[in-house]
Amino acid sequence: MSEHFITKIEIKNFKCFENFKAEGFKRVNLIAGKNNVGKTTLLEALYINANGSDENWFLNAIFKATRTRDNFFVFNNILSGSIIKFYQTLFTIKSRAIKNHQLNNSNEILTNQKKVYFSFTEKFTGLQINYQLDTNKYKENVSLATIKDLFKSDDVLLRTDENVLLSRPIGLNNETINEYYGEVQKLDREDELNTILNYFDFNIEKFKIMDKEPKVWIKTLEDYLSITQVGDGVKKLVNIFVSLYRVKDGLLLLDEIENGIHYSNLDALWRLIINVAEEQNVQVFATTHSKECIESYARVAKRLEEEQAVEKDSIAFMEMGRNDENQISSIIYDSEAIYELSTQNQEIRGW
Amino acid sequence: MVKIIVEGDGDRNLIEELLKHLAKNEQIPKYNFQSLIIHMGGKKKLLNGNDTKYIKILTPEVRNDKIKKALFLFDCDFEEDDQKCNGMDNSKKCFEKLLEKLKWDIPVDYHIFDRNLDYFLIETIKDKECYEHFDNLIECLEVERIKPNKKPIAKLYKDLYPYPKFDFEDQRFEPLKTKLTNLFEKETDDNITSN
Repeated sequence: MSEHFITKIEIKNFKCFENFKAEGFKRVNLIAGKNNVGKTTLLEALYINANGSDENWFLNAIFKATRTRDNFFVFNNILSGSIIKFYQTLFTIKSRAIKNHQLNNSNEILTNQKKVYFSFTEKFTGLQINYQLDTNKYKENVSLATIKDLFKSDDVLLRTDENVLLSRPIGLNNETINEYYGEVQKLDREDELNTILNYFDFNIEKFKIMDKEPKVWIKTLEDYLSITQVGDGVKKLVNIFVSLYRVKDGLLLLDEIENGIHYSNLDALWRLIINVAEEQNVQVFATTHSKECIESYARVAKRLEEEQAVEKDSIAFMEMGRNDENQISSIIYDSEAIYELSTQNQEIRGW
Repeated sequence: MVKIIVEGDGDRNLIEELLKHLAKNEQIPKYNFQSLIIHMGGKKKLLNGNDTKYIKILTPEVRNDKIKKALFLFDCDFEEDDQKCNGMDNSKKCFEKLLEKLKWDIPVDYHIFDRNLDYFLIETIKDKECYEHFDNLIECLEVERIKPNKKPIAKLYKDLYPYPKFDFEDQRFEPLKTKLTNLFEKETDDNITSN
């Protein structure tokens, strides 16, 4: 495994995690668990941690990792996605912040790669952000003015580490797909995308960017359709495909990977992810609720290892649950164990 | 959750059927019982605390409170085949060693089939008259002399009847039924109970 891969994580006081530890991650990691055991939060913690070597990246990562979910604050009035508005909200809606953010608690997200500490503290003058990142000294009492100064403008582009992607179930917008597809073109991998699209739906022949819009050629129509006009599974596949090539040597975080994908296509999807992750040296973390998705993952991983198509011991499966003290807990199984569990029809979707 | 640890597929099928029977009689709650039964691939592996299924699956599941109670089911087998772990006394000794090795801090129970599962199945099939014929066949073919257990006959019966008609009301099922019913009761401080 590559040196840049995250193999262990420790999370303290971040959202639902009070004191969580997990060790044994590999190149490709599938995570399952019941509702509200922190699967998505784990991806967010990984995302924030991976952006922890630059303060601009870090503040953006906190914004990106939390703004699409209503766990920290109320975002209904933030339509523009401006990071300054996000932090304005953070600094003004104190009561909500106190309730949801365990104010004054120190948040820690530590991996074998980076250390990130941060806290939101209420003082007489208002909320303060304190944080310490992997390569920086401790930043104390960061105010809104400081953040404005840091980002210079209200409409600053949300910049994070380009080799770290957090993919929500909603997927990428067209502009981002266009940008990422450039990497696929650079590597001449357009045919591979067309092949797997055709496998997903024999009526789809070709993917193309036309007038800055991602489109697919539909055989029966003899015309191109925007991918927003075809099924969610096709759009999801395109998202995953272009993202894998975009984050070479990086980290790809896929939330609810099975959404929109028919079970009969899951083997092809996992074969793509596991193969390209190795080829592009990408570490992948994906979450799921689906037993079929886990079984497919176990089956494909075993087959690829037997075919020696991928390195041995490069696959892990993490099951999350709660222990007797109601704390979030996890078990990480290797490819041999997850194959055994799935073939014996054991319960592996959390406890 | 509870976990039932058995030797092989045959045990798994029997226990699943028996659990369905108990659930039908409302003695235990309904569940996807297959997911609670794991087979280890033979008695040797079941009694080996270093087996990968213990190390990679079952012990981590116990440590993380996924498995809260366990029941082990295995054959007594014949002492002449293996003097170390076969026969009732040796089987119990080997099982105690397994528990020492595993160091699980959950309630654990076990049930050892007299001789083996095949005898148990043949002796408890619903069609009692068939059983007499089985005995005649065994005698006629000198099965006991050639291979001193009923595996070949049990295999023949299972080949002919993939879904055997077990007589779960047979008294010989009672000890096993009690252990299974106890397993699904709320956790108690009981640890190891005798067979």
